[in-house]
Amino acid sequence: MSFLYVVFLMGLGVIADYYRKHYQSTPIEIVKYNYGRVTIYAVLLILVFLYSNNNEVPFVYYQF
Amino acid sequence: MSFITIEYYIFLIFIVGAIYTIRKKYNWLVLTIASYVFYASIHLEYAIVMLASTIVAYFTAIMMSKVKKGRVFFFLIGILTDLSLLFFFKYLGFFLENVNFLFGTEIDTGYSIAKNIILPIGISFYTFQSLSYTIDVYRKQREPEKHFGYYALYISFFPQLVAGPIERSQYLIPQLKKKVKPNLDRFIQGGKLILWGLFKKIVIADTIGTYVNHVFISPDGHNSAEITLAVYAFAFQVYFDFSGYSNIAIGSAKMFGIDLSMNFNSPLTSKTLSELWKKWHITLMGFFNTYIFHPLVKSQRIFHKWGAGAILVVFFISGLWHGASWNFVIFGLVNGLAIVIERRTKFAKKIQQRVKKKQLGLAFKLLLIFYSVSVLSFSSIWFKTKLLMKLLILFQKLELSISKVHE
Repeated sequence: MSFLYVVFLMGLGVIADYYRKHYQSTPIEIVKYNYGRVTIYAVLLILVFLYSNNNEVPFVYYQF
Repeated sequence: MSFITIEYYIFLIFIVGAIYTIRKKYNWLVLTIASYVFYASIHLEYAIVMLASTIVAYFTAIMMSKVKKGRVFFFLIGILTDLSLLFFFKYLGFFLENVNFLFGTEIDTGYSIAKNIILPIGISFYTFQSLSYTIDVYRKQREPEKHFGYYALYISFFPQLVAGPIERSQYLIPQLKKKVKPNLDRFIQGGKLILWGLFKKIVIADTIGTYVNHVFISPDGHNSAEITLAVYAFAFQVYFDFSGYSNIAIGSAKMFGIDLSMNFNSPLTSKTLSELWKKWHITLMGFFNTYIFHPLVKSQRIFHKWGAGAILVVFFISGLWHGASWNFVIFGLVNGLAIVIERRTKFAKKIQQRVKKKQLGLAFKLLLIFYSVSVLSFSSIWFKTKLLMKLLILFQKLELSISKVHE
């Protein structure tokens, strides 16, 4: 696996994480939905399916 | 049944469907049975251990509220039951190894019961929930839960059973008692969180993990840049793996109308290590703060005067919580020590003040983020390299490569 690809994934992860963080704590009642953002979830779903061909890797924190 | 298997999602949709169709007063029963089925699907014996812990904590809490004298006795039974389960399953082998080392004894840890015990998954998480409940009841910060079913569900609620978030009973039990009505918005929000969690786990963490494993297995075949990247990448892998898990857990719970606590708040963009540890595994650090750090500072004169000592104690325990090995203790102490330095040195204090007042330029912010991520990364490789010698070889290799570049 290439060096730059790993760096890219690390950066992508940080951006995705930052983008999503507010959803984790917002109470359900005050969340406003934007159903126009279906595209990004479609992309996520495709990516998850594409990458899920790898062997199933247990979660790191299962060992604790 | 893991969160990344299709079976889990069939199970989840089936239980959500059941919750919305049956009479509301039986919601707790369906969720409790589902939680035990989920846990027993991993290992049947684990469920029995969890049930035993639940029964003892439930009855000791009830007894604490009923008796006027002897509350301490029931408190100790509750606490010691959880701690002994944790010790027996997680730390006995490590303890015996150290006894052998210190006293020159020859207790055969290789063939002893300690080595043959399988660690029940999630034991570090649900015993901590049980401990927090028992302590809160003892401190009279909450009434004991009278309904055994709700208490059993609080301990076993399947989205957060295996790896948290570690919830306090005052927050979770009232939500478990709420009557949930079908809600499409809630279902969609939960689904989105699950999707983000799967993305972090499968696309980011597991792919980075392939590279990390490749480098760590044979460091000799890689140059210093590749080894350095692997060290950083491993911290990122752990983070995206665990925060991905938390997203899936929170998303699954939302489908039942339950808000679990936020466990991560983008810690990899923190400018100081203190900030990073406030944003990383928030519920565990909250537990240590409430039940160890504050009581130590308040009650022990030495820690009241020397707060740094309390920080080191917390990070020592935090390291040990992560695993029964000195590697994890070192991981905890390195981070604790870095935080103490941040709090004590004048230079670090000035930076902290500027961070609070948001008086930092972009370049300086990035430099600080690099610092905090570096401390985390270089201390986290203890997770990966369980053998101290192997780690020293890795560092030696890194040092040699760097000195070659300088020559």
